[in-house]
Amino acid sequence: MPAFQLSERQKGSILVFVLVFAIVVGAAAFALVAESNAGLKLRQMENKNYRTLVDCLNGLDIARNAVETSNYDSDGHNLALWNIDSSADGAPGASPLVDNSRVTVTISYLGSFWYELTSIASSNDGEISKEVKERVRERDFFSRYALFIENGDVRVGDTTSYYGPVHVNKNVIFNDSVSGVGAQVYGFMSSTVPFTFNSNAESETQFYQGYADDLGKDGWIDLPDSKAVEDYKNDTGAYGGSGTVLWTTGSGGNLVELRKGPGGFSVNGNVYTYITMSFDKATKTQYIQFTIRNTSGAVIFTSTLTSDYQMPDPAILHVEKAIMGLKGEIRGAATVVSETDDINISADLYYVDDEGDHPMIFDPLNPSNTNYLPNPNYEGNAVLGLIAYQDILYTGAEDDKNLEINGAIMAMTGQVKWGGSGDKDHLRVFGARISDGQTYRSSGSSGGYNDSGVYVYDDNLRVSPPPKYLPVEKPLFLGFQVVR
Amino acid sequence: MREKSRGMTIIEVMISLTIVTMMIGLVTGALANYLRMTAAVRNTVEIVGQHEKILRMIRSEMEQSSANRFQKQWWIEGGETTLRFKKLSGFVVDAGGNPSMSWSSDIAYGLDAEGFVTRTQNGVTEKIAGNVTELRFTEIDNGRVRINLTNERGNLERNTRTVLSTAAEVTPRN
Repeated sequence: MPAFQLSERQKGSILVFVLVFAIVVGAAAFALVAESNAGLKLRQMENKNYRTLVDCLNGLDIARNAVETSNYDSDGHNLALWNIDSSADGAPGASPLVDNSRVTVTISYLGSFWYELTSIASSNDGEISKEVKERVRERDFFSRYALFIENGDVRVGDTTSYYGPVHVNKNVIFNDSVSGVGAQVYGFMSSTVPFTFNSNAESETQFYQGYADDLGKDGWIDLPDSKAVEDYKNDTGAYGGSGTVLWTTGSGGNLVELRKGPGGFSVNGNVYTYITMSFDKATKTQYIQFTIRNTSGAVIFTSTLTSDYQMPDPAILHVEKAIMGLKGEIRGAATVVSETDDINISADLYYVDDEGDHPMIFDPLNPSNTNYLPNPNYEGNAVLGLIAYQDILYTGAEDDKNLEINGAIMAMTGQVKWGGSGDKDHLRVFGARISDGQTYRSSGSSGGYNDSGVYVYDDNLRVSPPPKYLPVEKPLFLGFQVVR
Repeated sequence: MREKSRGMTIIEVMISLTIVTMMIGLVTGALANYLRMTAAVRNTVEIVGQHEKILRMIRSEMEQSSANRFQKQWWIEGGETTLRFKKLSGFVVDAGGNPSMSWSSDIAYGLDAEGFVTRTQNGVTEKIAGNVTELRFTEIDNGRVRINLTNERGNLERNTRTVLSTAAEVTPRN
């Protein structure tokens, strides 16, 4: 008898078994191939997606470069933008700024110097499309710099710290008076000529965000063609139909007036003006107090904290001659202007929120350069601009060894410098400094803030400059958005 | 005749077996080594690809956020393990020429207990990539975030484990 014999009923079962086995193996093989293909397609789709986004971003970069390197016309328009679309009609200009086989960038004027760049790229097979937008203002403001010097070198002491961008249209000179200690530069620093490092300053100075000492000049205010300081007088609205005279004396060439308008205050006449700003936490009201002296130094007017002296927000405070003293606290937005002369910062000048908190905390007992730090409790949005036709002077209070300034301070034809007497300790600036000439915080035998100076850029100035602040011929990019 | 047709001696058999065993050993060793190297390379390539994917996702979204003092839209939480932020969703210019930006709901990137990088928005959590042993976010300087990412793949006992770390910095552009 054979060892293995199939009955009639079992005949064909091996064939069925082989068939089932073949189907199972075949299905498994098919599933593996399908999975592999699906994985491959997913990878290909991801790569295609990414490549298309990169094309889109590259197109935007090309457009940014064209806008950044463009010339400006006499009205202050960026020609790369203005020539393509000068009508705020909600539609892009007739021709794109960038147009090649991979990406198209169109421009649409939004109004008030703002444009929208729209970059659209598609994959080669048209399956994927990406869209990225970015907005640009034709002209940024001078408050974009932590420090800008038009016509003078900057001397950097080895106990100095810079936070935020610094540009000098001349040279940056690093001094080395303390062995083993160097300046700390936390923002990008640039100049038009190679930096000068004295003694060991080169090895002791720390640059945390890079530097370039061979850049071209950045634009400065062309006084005859751009908004000059005298325009601020009209910006107050004090001399139009809505303006009122709060106080006046003299007549003819000796006329002195203190006026108020919907946009701010104006002091006109040959007097010395002292300004104190104060914020009443209880009523949430911002006041301004004026003390006016004649040229002999005698007080001829002092205002009181009444409703007449509530500051609008935003406010322009225009003074024709010198502001001999400026101090206090501000909750809103204001720009203080001396049309023809200096501004003396006579004591601390700082931002507050509704609770009276300051944006920065200064610990004078901490010897390190990082002793001026953001206050996490601050919840305000104050911004202050100072524009002096001549100098901005750190005079400080007699009974205070330290001085704190919050704001973007600008000396259009002069310097931002020490202007007091005696030896002081620490200077802290939270904001921006812009000047025509050299800037310094002490001057040897004349005293000054000898111990340290820390300058922290207020990043808010990038988006919210002080009211009517002066613009620079550089675009401001903002509003980056991947739409799809 | 008998002399010519004799078989192999035990010595000859042993030598032959030894040579064959050694050759098999060498080939097997080389093959195992090759497989280990292939696995390590494959692991590295896969991890690099995964890191690129994760960082690309986080970066492309995070760049649409803002580090501005008054409108900072990102926060590091949970002992540097979670990055939460909002990204730009709208931009208008008001009558005074001032820009006004609106922001998305919160987006959070983190690492779950199973080693997956996750993205959560509006209560919906997506798993982005697995086998991640470390995802750490650190605030550096003014308005920048550093992302540290570490992956492990393979088997330690088989000597095929690959550990790779990547660091990247992102600056919000708004």
